[in-house]
Parts: sequence; C-alpha cells; structure tokens
Amino acid sequence: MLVTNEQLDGLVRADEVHRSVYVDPAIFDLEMKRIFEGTWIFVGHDSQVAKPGDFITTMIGRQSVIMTRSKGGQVHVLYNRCAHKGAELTSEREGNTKTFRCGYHGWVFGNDGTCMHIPAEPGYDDTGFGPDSCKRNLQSVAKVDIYRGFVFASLSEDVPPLTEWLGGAATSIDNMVDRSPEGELECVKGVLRYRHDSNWKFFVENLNDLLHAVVAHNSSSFTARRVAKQEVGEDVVIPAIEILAPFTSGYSFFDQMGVMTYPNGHSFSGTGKSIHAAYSDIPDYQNAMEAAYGEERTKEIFSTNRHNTVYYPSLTIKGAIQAIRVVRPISVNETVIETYHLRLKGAPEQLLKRTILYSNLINSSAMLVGPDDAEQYRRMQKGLMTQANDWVSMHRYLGREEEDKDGGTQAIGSSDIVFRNQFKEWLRLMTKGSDASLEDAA
Amino acid sequence: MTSATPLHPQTSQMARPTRQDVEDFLIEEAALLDEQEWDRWNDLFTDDGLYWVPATLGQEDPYTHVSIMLEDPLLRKVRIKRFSAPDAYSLQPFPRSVHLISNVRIEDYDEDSGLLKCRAKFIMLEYQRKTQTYGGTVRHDLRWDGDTFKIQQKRVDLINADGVLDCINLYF
Ligand code: FES
Ligand SMILES: [Fe+2]
Repeated sequence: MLVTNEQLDGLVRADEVHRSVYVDPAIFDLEMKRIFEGTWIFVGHDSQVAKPGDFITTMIGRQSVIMTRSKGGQVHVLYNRCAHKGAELTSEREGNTKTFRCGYHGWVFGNDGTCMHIPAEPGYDDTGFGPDSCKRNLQSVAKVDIYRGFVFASLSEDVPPLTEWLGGAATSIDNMVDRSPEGELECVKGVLRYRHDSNWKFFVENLNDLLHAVVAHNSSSFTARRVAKQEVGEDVVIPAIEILAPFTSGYSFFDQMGVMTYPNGHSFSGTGKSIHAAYSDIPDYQNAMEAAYGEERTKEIFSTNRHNTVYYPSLTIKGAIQAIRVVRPISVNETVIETYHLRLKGAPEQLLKRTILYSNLINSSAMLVGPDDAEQYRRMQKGLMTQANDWVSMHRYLGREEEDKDGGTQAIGSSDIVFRNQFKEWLRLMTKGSDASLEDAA
Repeated sequence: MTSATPLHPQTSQMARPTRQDVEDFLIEEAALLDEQEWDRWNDLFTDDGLYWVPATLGQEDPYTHVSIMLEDPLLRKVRIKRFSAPDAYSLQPFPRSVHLISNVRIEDYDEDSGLLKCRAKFIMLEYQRKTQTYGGTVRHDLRWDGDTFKIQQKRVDLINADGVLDCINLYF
C-alpha cells in the first residue's frame, strides 16, 4: 500500500480534517516516521542530568534514547542500542554511570557513546569492524540543542535551528524561566504517567481548546465551588478551590483569554485573561523577584500568565504553574502523557507546593480535571470510528483571526485557529518527503 | 462472649487494641467502599484526616512531590459529591470495585495518644469498561478511643505508583 502526498493532502482542508488522521493505524505509523522522527522533539530538562554521569532514558517517537551528561558537562542524546547486535543498552529510567555495559556480549561504552571495550576483540581484526570503525560507537541522534534548559533532539538533519523553530513561542519558556529569581529551573522528582485510550492529537489540540472547559469540567470545577461554599463559605481562600474554580469561568472569560498561533504548529492560550492570574500572592516571592529583576521587570514577568503553550507535536508547558506535559504516542488509540514539575530556583518553597497541588488536582489520572478530558478524547476516538461524517470540524471563527506583531497570529479564545494551525504543520511534515510506502513508515 | 463485661472497658488506661480489632476495622472500611457508602466511609476519618496515594515508592512528602491522590476532608467531599453529578461523564457507566485486604500488622501503638500505626496488603479491582487490577501496601494511622478507630491518615503505596496508570475512579 502506498500513501501518496496527494492522498495526505486530501485529508486536511482549511476548515475540516478527515477522521482517518485520528483512527487509521497506517496514518499513525507515518506520523511516527515523519512527525515524531522528523522534527524537534523535547527530550528532557537539563537538570534531569545535572551531574556528569547522570542519564535518563526516554523515547523519541518509537525510538529508545538515552540523554547523558559526559565528563566535560556536555549533554548527549544517544540511541539506546548496542553498537554490536542491537540490544537495548539500559532499561533503567535514570541513573548515574561512567559507562554502559551491554548485557549480551559485554561491549562497554562511555556516556558520550564512545566504545571503550570489546571482549575477545581480536576476532574483529581485519573485518571492517575493527578499532577504526565508527560503527563501534553508540550513535548520536542527528541534532541536539538546548533552549534555556529544555533539551530538544531531532532524528532528522533536515530541521531549522532550534530557536528559529521555536520562534515567538519561545517567550513561554522564557516566562517560565524568568519566574525564577535566579533565572533557572530544576526538574524535581516525581512524574505522573497517564495512559489515554485515544490518539495523541486529541491531547495537543485540547490544551488550547478553550471551548470545552465550561462543559467538560463542570462536574469537577462547579462541584468544587459548590462544596466549598457549603463547607467553608465563599470568603475563605482554599488553594485547591482557587485552582479548580476558574475552569468553569464562563464562555466570555475563555474568549477573552485569547489564543496565539505561531509557525511550525506552536500555540498558546492566555494572551489576555488567564485562569492562573487570580491566585493569591506569595509575599516572599514578590520580594525575591524584585531583588533580582527590579520592580518594573518583575511586574512585566508577572503580567504574562499563559495557560498552555504547545510546542508541536510533543511538548506542552504551563509557565505560570511550572509544570510540563509531554506526549508519548503509543499507537493510533493509545497515548501516554507524562507530567514533570519544575522548581523555580531561588523562589520560596510555597511556589513548588502550588505547582504540586495544581498537578495533583489537574494532571493525575486519579483526580478530577484530567479524567474529565481523557474521557472526551476516548469518546472522540470511538465516535470517529463511525462513518456518520468523514470530516471533523475546525470551522469556529474561521477567517476572523488578527495578525500580531511577534510573528504570531492571534484570535478570540474559542477559535479553532489552534487546530487549523496544527494541521497546517501536520500536513507540511507529513508530505515533506516523497510518497511513502507503508514499509517506509514501519 | 458470655459475660456482660464491656468489650473495651473505659478505664483510665484504654484497652490495647488487638490485631483482630484492626483487621475488623479495615474489613468494615473496605466494605463501605465496595458498597459505595461514601459518606459513611468519609466519616471514618478524623476532622483533618488525609487520604494519600504517593506517586513514588518511599515518597516522603505529600506537598513538595506530586501524588496520584492527595485528599483532605474537603477534597473528599468534592469527589464524593461528583460521584453523583449527572455530568461526570468519566463515571458513566459508574465503576464498581472489590477490595481484598490481608497481611495486617500493627507496627506501633502509643498508649497515651491512642495512635496506632498499621500496615496491610491489598488488592483492588475496579471495573468500568474493563477490569483494572491494583495492589500494594496500605498504611493506616488510626486513632483508638477504646472502642473504635478514626483514620488520621490512609496511605496507599501502589506497587506500580511510578508506572503508567489508567484513569483511577474510586478509592483504594
Ligand atoms: S548486543 Fe551488545 S554486546 Fe552484543
Ligand atoms: Fe480540559
């Protein structure tokens, strides 16, 4: 079977997208090849490998990789594949080591990938696999770059420089980092890993879908409001309620939140209002920020309260909350979302506590808001298996966007511009090469 | 029991709770959960009783490290209220559970405060569209008043706390 670029072209219209992009396993395979293994993908935060020898393992699309920090302090992203016969080198999630020893025939590699020892080595003399062969080293991915602590890698050489790719959307990472009085983040221990019975795109679309919260989160957010009112009264500030209540703020609030899209599929919500803007102040934090940046600049940093920023296709961040969620597609109808938490260096511990409280309530698979969303992705996955209508709507506020100065395009909060923009990038990446046979995808 | 002597005479020194007392209480607690008697279950907690499912084995702190579930009395009331919300779509059809609790050990008992720490093993099946299996160690910090217990803290350590988890709807 051949998937031609012409066929792919036919799946995305200006105002609709064909349901097969969510439910067809062949499309999923091609997405792994051309999107997840063809563009910049977030690997981890450099504080996860703070010391020389530190490593973490993760996936880029379907491919297992190790992020290491070597002796000189350099960050490497290596394929987790023994140079000999291909065994996965380490199955640990994280650790610290100078060398990786393959458990099959005992080849040993440095944490920069260099082959250091081969048992019974003379057997390779004059075979082309001798000491001069660079095939004896672990292979590095095509590109690695770090933006303010966020490590990205690309399995393809054919990508623009990272800062160019991030474009105006980089300001969301900037704002998260600037919220640290020391201008640095630290990834703390504790990760949530949440399996969704649905296609990965529902998640990245939903993060800036400002039309759903009022309905989908009513049972969590409105119930929280109601119970709090009954139990403690309306005037008492309860941090958990402060977090849950804004999800049912009403349509005009979410419209005023606004969305912004950028080239390469990126977007954020919260150009205007934000569900994170009304949290109680933490006075020590204000002081630490003003000491570091001055009053004016601090005010400027705090005036940016973005909701979610999506770095298409896999990284989503919440700058004002210091949590990031990473998309790991497993199959056409299975996705794992990982949530990581970042500490603002130099800020009072109370900030981290707010990050954690937020994540407990919103991102856990066992709490309130996350399951509201996951259930609707599951229902879309099932609903779109029907042949009722092959086309999925992205009509809302079509043609009503306004150009913005920072290379982005702004629109009213509940506009479908975010999805139209994501599918523009989807199509660009999916049709970048020549026509693909399915063998090509696998 | 043939004599008329009260089971736990209220003397200045409270009767020391036995493992049987603890086990009976844990079995009753599990029954309330499986029978979906949420309010009665929540009443088993002290006024500031905490329900906690850490996200990492050996997790020390519930406030600076993320958890799978961390609920004070107010948040439990929110969840319980949501159980009957008509628009709680993720609870349709409403899930069911069965709890097995075993290997009960009393770890510590402080006579003066009546604080008892115990540990048990549990298996919980939750069925919605498919059956999920959960298991691990449950640790209760219980307040004994000579007659019954109140839960000061219930901590549930899933063996796969740091693994990939599906949606968990009900209490362990
Ligand atoms: S596969 Fe690794 S040493 Fe043989
Ligand atoms: Fe949502």
